[in-house]
Amino acid sequence: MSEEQRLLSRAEIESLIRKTIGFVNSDDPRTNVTVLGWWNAELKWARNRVSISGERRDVTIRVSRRIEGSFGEAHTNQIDDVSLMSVVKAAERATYVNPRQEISPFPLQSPNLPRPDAAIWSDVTADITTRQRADVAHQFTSEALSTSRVSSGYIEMRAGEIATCIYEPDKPIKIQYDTYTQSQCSVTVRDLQKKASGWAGLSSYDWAAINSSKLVKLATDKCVASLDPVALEPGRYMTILEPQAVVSLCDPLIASFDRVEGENGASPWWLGMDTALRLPKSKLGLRVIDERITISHAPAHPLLGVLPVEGLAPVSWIRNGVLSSLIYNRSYALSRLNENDPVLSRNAYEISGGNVSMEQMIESTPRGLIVTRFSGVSKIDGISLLCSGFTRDGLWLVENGKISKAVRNFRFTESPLFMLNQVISVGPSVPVFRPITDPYRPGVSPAIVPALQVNDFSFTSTIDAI
Amino acid sequence: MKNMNKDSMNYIINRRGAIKLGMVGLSTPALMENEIHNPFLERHSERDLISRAIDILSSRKVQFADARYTFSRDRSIEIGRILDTESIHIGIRCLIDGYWGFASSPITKPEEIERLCSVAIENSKANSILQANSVILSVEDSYENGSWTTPVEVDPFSVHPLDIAAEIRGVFSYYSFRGYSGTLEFRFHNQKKSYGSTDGRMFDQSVYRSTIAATVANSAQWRRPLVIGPAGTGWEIYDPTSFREKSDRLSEEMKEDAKLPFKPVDVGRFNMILGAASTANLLSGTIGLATELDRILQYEANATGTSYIDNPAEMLGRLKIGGQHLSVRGNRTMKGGCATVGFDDDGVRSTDFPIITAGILSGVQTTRELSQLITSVPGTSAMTRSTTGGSIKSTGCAHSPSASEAPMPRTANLEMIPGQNNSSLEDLCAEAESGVLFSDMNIQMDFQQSNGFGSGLCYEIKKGKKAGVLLNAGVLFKTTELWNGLKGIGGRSSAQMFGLAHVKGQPNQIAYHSVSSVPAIIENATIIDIMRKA
Amino acid sequence: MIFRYGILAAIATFLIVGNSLESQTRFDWPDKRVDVASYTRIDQCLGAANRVVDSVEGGTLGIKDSIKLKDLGPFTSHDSSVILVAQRCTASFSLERIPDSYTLLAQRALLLAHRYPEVIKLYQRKLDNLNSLTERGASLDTIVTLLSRARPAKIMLADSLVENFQYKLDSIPSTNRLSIYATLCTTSYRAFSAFLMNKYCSKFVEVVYSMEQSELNPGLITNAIIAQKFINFETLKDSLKISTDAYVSALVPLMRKVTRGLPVPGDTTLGTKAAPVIGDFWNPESARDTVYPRIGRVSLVISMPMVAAENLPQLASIAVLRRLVQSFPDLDIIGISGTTGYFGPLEPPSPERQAQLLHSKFVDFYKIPIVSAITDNPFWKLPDPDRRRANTPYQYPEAFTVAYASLLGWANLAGANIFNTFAGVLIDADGRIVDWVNFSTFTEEHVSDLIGILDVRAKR
Repeated sequence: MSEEQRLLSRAEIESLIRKTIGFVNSDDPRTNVTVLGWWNAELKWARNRVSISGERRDVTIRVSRRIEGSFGEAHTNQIDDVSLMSVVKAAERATYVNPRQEISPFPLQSPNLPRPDAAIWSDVTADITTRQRADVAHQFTSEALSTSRVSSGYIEMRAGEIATCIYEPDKPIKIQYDTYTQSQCSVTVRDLQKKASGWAGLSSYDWAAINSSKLVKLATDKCVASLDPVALEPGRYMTILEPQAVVSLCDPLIASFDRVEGENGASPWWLGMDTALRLPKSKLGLRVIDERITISHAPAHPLLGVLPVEGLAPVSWIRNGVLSSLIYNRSYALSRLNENDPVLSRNAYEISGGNVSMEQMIESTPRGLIVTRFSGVSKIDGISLLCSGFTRDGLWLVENGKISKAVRNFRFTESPLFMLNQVISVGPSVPVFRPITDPYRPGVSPAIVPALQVNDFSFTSTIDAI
Repeated sequence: MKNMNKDSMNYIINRRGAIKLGMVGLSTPALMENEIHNPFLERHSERDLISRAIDILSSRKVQFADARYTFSRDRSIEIGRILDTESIHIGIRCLIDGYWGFASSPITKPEEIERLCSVAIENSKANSILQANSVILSVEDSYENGSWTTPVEVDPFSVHPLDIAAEIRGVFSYYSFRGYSGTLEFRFHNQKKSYGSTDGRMFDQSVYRSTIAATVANSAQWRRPLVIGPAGTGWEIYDPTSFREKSDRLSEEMKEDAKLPFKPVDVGRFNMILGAASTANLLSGTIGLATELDRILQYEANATGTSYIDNPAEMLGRLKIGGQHLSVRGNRTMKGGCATVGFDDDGVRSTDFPIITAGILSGVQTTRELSQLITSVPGTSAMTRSTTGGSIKSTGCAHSPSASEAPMPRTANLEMIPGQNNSSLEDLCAEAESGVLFSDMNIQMDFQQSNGFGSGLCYEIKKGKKAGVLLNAGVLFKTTELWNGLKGIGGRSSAQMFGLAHVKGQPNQIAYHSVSSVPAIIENATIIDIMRKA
Repeated sequence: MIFRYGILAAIATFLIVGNSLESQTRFDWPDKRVDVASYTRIDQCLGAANRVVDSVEGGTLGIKDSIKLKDLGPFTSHDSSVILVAQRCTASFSLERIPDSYTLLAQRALLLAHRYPEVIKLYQRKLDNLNSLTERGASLDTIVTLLSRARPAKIMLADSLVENFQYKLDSIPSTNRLSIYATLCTTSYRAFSAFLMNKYCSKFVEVVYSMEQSELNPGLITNAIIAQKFINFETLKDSLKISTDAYVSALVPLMRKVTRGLPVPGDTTLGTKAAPVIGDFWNPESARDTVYPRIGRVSLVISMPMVAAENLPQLASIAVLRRLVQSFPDLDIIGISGTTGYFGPLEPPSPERQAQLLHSKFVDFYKIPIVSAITDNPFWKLPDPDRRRANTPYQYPEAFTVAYASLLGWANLAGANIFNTFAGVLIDADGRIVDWVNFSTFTEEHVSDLIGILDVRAKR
């Protein structure tokens, strides 16, 4: 199958946008058009058989019109003339309902900030064939069959495109066009008596970076090792968190890096009012977590590419434990800092790694737990970032520097800030499973994080689920 | 169905209103410069397309195949924002040698239909050549040309958005008139679906879902949501008088709560009284999800998880999930339910069926494929599963949010059978004498729906009355212990219906279902402080 | 051409006819016509009446018209078709059938249908049903606001409503009373009802007088001073005809009456000679060599805001200012400001560029011929990583600060914020400060009269 059948071509999208703008008929023709297209190949297996394999594609045209200070928006997925004409009409109608907002005497200028280059397209991902996917799944299921275990899993390859156009009268039509790919693979291996479960997964824009045989082995090993778990008392344990567990607890932390919130109160980064300056202050410049930890992102990092947007520059949110940057938009940058560049949020981050291996962490643990991953993490409190969730697919007790037994799953109640302040040792940073699940949300969301050995992680009750 | 806007000519909004709703761009110069792509040449009715797909698939020796065409409309209106979204999808699913293949697209041209059929078949065959498998589908009653529409009184899309905007302003004036404030948003969804399958079933179905999402605020600190729906109804979901009354009641309730003392929660075992909304959330999380047969059989093991019901062949008719007050039915015909349809996405007529009868597990939620696996031992490999030769019928729980997505089993509407003695929430509080009351509760379940914890607005009950608001209160529970502690439930007049959404599957799909529930008392619930660490 | 229209017409036909064939998304909206006959429920009907007026008005009173200097005037009446819909719609519903919860919807429809006595009855019933004083106060407040917003012409209606409830008004919370009186005071001014203006402005001031000293805030004081000016406007005008001194000596006691005899910040500058305007950047550049305010010219010194976008009252202020420029071509308008280091969405400009942009915004966009004097504002930056700009405390000469309204930046007044608009200092031809004025549709006539008198005096 040719690529044209998976995505619209760039030329097709550009002509689509020009045609849409052509349907605008007004004294005030300012229009934004965004076109999102994607192709998704999906294969799911369960009980050692592929349960469904398929390919889907869709396109979304979002038109927003601005008339005399009112905005209106409408979305369609049809690209024929009548639909495009109608979606413009629908966006215009919405402006009559929506109230007038402020108007600016100066036309909004595009800031012309630099756009980073990022590695987010892989031909391997985009060109994968149905048969190749089937072969990968077969590898997983036959391995499980041969060891009398039950394998369930999912692989997905996505190719997507996004084109945006901000049309202003008397200016040439400028269309920003980007493409990306994303692939993911995850597998759960369970034993027949449902007494053990192991999981492994990875996501990357590049399918070639995902080693499926390694995932098969990892999930199987975890399943074998987690057989017949014993119940432990809830409490605070020295804990070794694998990267996948670290990333799910750090996501709420990354989402909290907002400067305006940090300066207004409802945020972990609010410090207080500086009475001398009469300015609200955030914790910028203060040490907030362990000094071995740096949380940052560089768009040019080969493993951390995200959809390139104007003004996306490298950033260190936390440098050596010190809060060093928070997100702000360009209007904040202009009016508060007299600077031009915003600090934009992004779907990717890196937590700096150390050089302590998992084995060394285990050896140095007199009594503690190893967590493979968490499930259902949800934030309970916005200021302390206290979260709650469950351990899943592999939890072990370490005694005297050795793994002694598998442990029944726990519910935990813990804050990523507490965790990052209780660090004993840090492992090397590795890519983790963190795909964008919704194909209508364009882009990729990679993260590279280390395993952590931390003190006093709080497990609040046992659960029965395996 | 009444249509609120008939074509009578009383008044046409003039230019100053700028409602140029006629043809857009009759004089658009830009349009003229473009070559007109004539839509007449490309137009096909949904039925034509579906028939074409079924013809192609039938000629390709498939065991079973079906095709869906959906036209979805969504409209949300709040003050300052109206958003219309429309989308059309076509999806093909086929079963060859025990493997399902799927393909979908937004393009509704005949060439694309042919391509989709080929892609779906290719996806099935790519797997079937590697390993043998068999899938048996239940034998269902046949019909031709089925047709079903959510019984709405007024089509919400026939109500003029400007009328709705005026209505919202009217509500806001009323709020300020009564001395409080709030927000209000209307959301409407309609999906027209045409379905055809190679075993001769065809239907057209139009499903509506309406939601009112509002908040009422007495002050910055005292703000509570007022949500009606989502429900399978039309514009009639909004009754101006009762909506205003509900808002007033909520505002009054907050004023009363403000007078109560605020207390830190006492950790321990207490009687727990559940408002109908709390019961609905708990039923959905602990019973609705856990009795989906695909979860039970580990189809979701790598995604949202499995179920504490892990051996349906043994557990059906034996497993005691709750006290004898607990009877729950799955119901896809319930009036006003979000999951109420005429036909499910396997083409099976909707039905209602028991899930829990007097505390005992009496049914699970299935599709045509899964219904054949009830007697199989979950966790065993596909080849060793036993089947029932098509004799057990599906409960009709296949669902896909649109033709873009492949169907999968989803929770039906749940109907909790109310108690005989007609008690209200107040009666239950009086009966409990002391304890805690959760009027609304969010729950978080583990990946087998067996343990969970709930938290939400919680009151201390003393002498049958609210004696204080408990801060950070939560309840920790195990599904079977929770429902076995069920001591009493509300009567028929205390039953309420709530609309809930869940995300499931790989790729993720969102689906809605309604729960009709009554207030309940649970003995010896474990009350915790959700902010307390170990 | 015929061919092209042929295709377009075909598409149009398709849009209308092609109901059952769905291979396009067409975003159908229901018919835009209001079919009164089909409405069987009162809420449908009332909603429709409101919808029609909403669509027709479409918020047009705002930005667009003030900028185009197209004055709608307070008495613009509705399209007759709107009245017709409202009349037909309300005709089928008697007052008794309208439940309390529809009071507000019904109010608007009845007003549109010119059924005024019934509006009053509706409210009397509603207010009678309310028991709590707070609620009654809040309700009356809302009704009055809505009535006056609906049309200033309905001021008589609001008046009779308030009259009917006078005995209850005395017991409602003072914040509600203040707000009711303030609304009626300004609305009646706009509706040119001298009698009502006097009545309600006086009541407003009375309430302020009756309040504890501790309850007063700058916003309230400012508003009370403006109300005082409304009430005593004829006297003030007559004294200004004599001299600036006479005006100031009439005004200052009025102001201090509000503050119980305490001086109002800046009131001592009234009548004094204005300090020369200072600026690092002048536009036009030639203005640098002239001393402003110029002797022999009536001047207005206004502050120029450093924001890119404007809200509605501010733009309405600009429109008022522009009408003043048209009426008084000899008026000197001097804009003062300090640089802030940013300007709209542009890259942070140099102070010179910022001054230029600000000037051109007034001259080219607002079309207000202005002489601008902009000071380079000293600032420092907080250390990295905070890096916020902190302006060094900076005070424009005190001479330009009158009655809490600092000319640098918008008047940011706490309290009842009914006059939150553009402000300036009025200076006579001798270079003496006459008054602090603000430019809103409420005060437009007032300001215009004062400038007129000064203009005549200057030319004498």
